[in-house]
Amino acid sequence: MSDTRGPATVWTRTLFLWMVALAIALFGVLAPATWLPLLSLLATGLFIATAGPRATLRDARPLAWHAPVLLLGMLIVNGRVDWALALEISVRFMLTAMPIFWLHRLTAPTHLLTLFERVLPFRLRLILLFALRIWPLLLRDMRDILLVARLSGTWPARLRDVRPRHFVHAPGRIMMPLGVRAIRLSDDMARSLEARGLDQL
Amino acid sequence: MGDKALAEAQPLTAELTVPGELTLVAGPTGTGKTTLLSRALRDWRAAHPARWPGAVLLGQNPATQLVGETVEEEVAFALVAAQMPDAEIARRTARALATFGLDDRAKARTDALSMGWKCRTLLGALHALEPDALFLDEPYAQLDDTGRRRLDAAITEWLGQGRAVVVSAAEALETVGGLPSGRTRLLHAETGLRPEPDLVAGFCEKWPDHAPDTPTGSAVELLSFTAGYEDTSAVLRDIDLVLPPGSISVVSGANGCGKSTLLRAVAGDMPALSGTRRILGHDMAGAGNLPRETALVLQDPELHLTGRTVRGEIEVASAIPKPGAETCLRIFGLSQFAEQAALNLSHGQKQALVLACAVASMPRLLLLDEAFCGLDASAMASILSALRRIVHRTGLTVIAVTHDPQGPVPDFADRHLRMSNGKLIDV
Ligand SMILES: Nc1ncnc2c1ncn2[C@@H]1O[C@H](COP(=O)(O)OP(=O)(O)O)[C@@H](O)[C@H]1O
Ligand SMILES: [Mg+2]
Repeated sequence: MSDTRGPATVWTRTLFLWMVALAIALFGVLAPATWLPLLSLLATGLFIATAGPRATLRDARPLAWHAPVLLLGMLIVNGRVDWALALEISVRFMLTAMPIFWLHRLTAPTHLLTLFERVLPFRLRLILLFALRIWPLLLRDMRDILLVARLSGTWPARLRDVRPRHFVHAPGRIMMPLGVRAIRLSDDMARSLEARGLDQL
Repeated sequence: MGDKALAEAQPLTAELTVPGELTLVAGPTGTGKTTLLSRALRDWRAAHPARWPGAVLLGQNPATQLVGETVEEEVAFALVAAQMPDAEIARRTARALATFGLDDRAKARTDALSMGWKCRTLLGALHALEPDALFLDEPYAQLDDTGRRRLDAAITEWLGQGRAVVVSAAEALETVGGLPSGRTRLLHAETGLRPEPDLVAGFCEKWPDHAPDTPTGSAVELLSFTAGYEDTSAVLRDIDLVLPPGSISVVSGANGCGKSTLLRAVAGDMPALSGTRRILGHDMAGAGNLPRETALVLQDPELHLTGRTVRGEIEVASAIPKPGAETCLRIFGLSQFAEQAALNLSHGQKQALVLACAVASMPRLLLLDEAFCGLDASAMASILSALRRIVHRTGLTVIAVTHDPQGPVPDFADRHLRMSNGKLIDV
């Protein structure tokens, strides 16, 4: 199967990936203190450069979800929010999550299947593929679930209208459907591949 | 479903698949068609262990089965995974795309397709595998006329090549699509839906008296309205739609013409590119505003489920105390499933449940996206009649969309509109 995004972009991507690897190595040796923030900046910059700002915003939105969880968790455990720590955790989180989005942006699913042919066994490649495919699908479904929640008044139409009472119903009416959906999606996708005989390969 | 359906299935699966013959598995929703088909697939594979892929199955919900990013990729996916030679992959993909009319959309993103086109894409993926036996679970349910004809032609071709085809449907028809079904297996079960429309009167007494605060007098008012998704050009073009409160309107049109998009726009999900939008008397120019007291039933009922029992789902969704929710369950024929996990219901039963939840939230505007797909004729007739009565008693406004202009859904409406290429025409 030909790569749907053209050979030229594949080369630029490969170049970018090598640049990142080089930069990580350089910073690790030269300036251990600035290593983390600089690396995250670089990663984000490259991501935006390859995927485009709009797509970045759309894809990276779930990354922001950890913020309320984090702050709430700190409030409950420590009784106050440690902003420096929150920032550090956020940066680490973004750093670990970014490659997933990146990989997904850069490689078509079928390409991915053939890409790691020599390194990973078939099943593992399929699992990797699932992990990448499920994000955009969940994102789309989240839109629908949020729309239904907003219509029913469970969640306000505008973010600035969020009140504490909204958090009472949000777990049951937004998080639960989303969790159910995630499990359902992976289950159905696996079943769909099984139904096409991929489990027998 | 479950044990009984399985026990019934065992002797059946062997004789379901006859090379070169079409078998129809028919029965009302919830009788175990899906269970029977997946069991038959497993049995077939156990009997023919050396063949690949041998038998394949199309599941009922097209939305959750797509793994490829583009249509072309989806069709080729299993072939690539099986490491077929590139030329062979290209040949099979091209043929599958042509068979289901997907050529124009080969590069389209699968998650931006409408439901009917997702179904066609999955059928194309099965076609490319050139299997010996095909099990298709209600493949016609989501397809419009052209889609159906494509599938009929494909089935004829498969049969001509000596493949066995098993198709399930909610109705025992003489023909499946346009084809005579040589063999029919009827599933009878006492587990179907039994709606009770007569309970509507008592239920509606609890309905709140909505003050008529719509100054213009219309529930929905779209004038020269144009809208679309973020990354596409306008999908809805120049829509003029004015609906009085207490009316039932049905919009029919081919797969992908923009019906679901229209409902989203009425629900305030997408910003207007031009024109005006007034819903229930509120002006909603931008996207941030959403109409209150509106319920939207999405095309994929599973998106509404929260992992509770049937009773739990309706209690969470309803604006009424428990006895009212119970009545609502009975109106939609779900009371005998009340303690079951909603996610384990059949597709049609999920549809009924999601409808019941929407009604129990007592909205003033109800938007139904193919909400009657997968319901058998008798259940659909009773549910439509129940909805009619609710509308008459409460002044609820309903917009329902369907891809099937011949079916019973348009008959239930006061007004029937057709949609074609993002434009609305009165019938
Ligand atoms: N999330 C989306 N992003 C971009 N385009 C979409 C999206 N959903 C649907 N479309 C496009 O909008 C058009 C109308 O789709 P839809 O309203 O789902 O059709 P239907 O009439 O079958 O309900 C189609 O061309 C479809 O490809
Ligand atoms: Mg639709």
